[in-house]
Amino acid sequence: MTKFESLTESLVDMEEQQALETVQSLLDAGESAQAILGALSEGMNLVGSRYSSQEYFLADLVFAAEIFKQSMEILGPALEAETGGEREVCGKIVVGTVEGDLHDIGKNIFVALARNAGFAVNDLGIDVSPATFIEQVKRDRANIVGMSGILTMSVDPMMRTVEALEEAGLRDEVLVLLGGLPVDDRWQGAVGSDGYTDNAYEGVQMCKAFMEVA
Amino acid sequence: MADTMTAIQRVDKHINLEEPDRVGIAPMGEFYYAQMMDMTIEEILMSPWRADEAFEYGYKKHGGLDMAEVAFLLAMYLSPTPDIFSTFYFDWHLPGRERDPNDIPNLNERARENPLMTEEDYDLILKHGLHRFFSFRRAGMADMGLLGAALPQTAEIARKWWEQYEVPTMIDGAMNAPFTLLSQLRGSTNFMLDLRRYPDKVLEVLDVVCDGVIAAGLALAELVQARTIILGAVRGSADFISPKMFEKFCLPYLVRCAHAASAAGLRVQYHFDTNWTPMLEYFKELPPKSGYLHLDERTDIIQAKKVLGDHLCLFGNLKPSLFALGTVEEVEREVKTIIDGCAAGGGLIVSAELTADSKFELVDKMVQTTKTYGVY
Repeated sequence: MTKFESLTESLVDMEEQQALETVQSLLDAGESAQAILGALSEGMNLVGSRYSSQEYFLADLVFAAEIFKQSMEILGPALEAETGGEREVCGKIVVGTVEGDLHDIGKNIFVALARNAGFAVNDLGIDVSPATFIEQVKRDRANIVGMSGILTMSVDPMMRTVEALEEAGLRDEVLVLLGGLPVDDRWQGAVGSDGYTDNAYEGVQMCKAFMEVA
Repeated sequence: MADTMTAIQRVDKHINLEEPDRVGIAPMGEFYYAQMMDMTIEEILMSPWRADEAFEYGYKKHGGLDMAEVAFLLAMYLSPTPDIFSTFYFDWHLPGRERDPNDIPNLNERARENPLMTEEDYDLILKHGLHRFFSFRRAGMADMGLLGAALPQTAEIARKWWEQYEVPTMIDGAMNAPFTLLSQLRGSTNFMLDLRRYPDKVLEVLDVVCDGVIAAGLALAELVQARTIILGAVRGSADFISPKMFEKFCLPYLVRCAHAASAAGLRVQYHFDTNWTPMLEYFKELPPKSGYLHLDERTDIIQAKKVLGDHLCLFGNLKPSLFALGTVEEVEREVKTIIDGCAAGGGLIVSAELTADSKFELVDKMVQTTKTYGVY
């Protein structure tokens, strides 16, 4: 097994210390930061696939994302040096928990996974008004708008946000996704979104499909 | 066909896993009942009398229900003991305070950044218990006074339903699963990381917290003369952790709480929102016929019947959005599906957690379909 394969395996097996030490030792040995990132990304893909098949659960996904995040902190300077600070971004997402709702567990996990997958994510936090969403979509020239909520009452601010996107002439330029445990086709029908998910990992896959990222 | 039993008799039969005259029907929906009477959520939260007035109105409009919601909200949100709903412990934003009077209470959990409890606090809890997290940040002494007045009112309202209406109360006491309590204090994302980083420390703390949770739950139940307590465990489900983690970190304490409540003569509402389908086998460790298992739509209730049909009464599991965004045909179809799959032999109470924007005609369709289609 190569050191890169060992790194992938450490991440998949949730061996935090071993994964971080391997990242550091590969860097110290002069290996390319982008190649190390590739091994980590391969690990995240395997974790995601096990999560999809219900072999892994949210706690596993969260832990793997944490290892990835810490690895990126180690890799950061070397990666910047190799790429000239221009890490390829596969899409721009503006995301937030909608007005009147303060729940952000799933949204935060989505943000971590989407960043790991190479998206530039602008996380607006919780209790986000339609006006704030629109302003940020314009400013970022976002490709995707993610609205999170778990209260049935959140349907209303989601609808108002979509209406505001239409009024601003932005609706056809962005993919609108809803996220949260209770969201379903009824929510999507009422809000007029392009998709919905109750699963942060699946949400990232939908964003990748939209941006035609492998 | 007219009912031939009182609601108390019917629910008792279901809990004992025997067939009564028909399937039970008991929607949960303080906020739904409030909007039926144009009351604000603040009003029903802060006044047990107003909340009971709203429920009584809804009860009559639906032609009777099999359980009464007895205005327990204030006691939960102003609980001086460690409770996941307590404003003295958690950053709850309440209607009429931090929120609009018509907003529902909202928890600012801080799942990752700036949590209420840090990693170092595990050791402090071992030394000093959970009371160090008590705070007057969002609630004060005046709230203690409100709570003092509300508890005997809640007990009086409960008595009315049991004795005058012959309807059992849904819940009038609470016990928190230690796992969920710690997860909410630490922030759910942090807690999921801790389960892997410091498993032994987490187990040690859960053990200590469990004793406190049981003592506080039993004391509160005694104070309000409760007959049914809610024991919730949302964070231990397959939407968060694996069955293996559940078995290690959640189940032992859940079982301890359930047995303590049962031994004290309390009925338990096992309030298990989110997806528990992979964990259903474990629930055989809960005391048999000790209450009812509340499931929401994320758990396969028909599978629950197969696994637990001879162990616990089932309660649920229609989706809340059905009553705000669905149709009467959909409601009728979904109620019949649950009855077809779960009613045989008794042990079924149809329910949904209604939101304030639920429509009367859709809720009533659930009630009337259960009463007619659910006859044994």
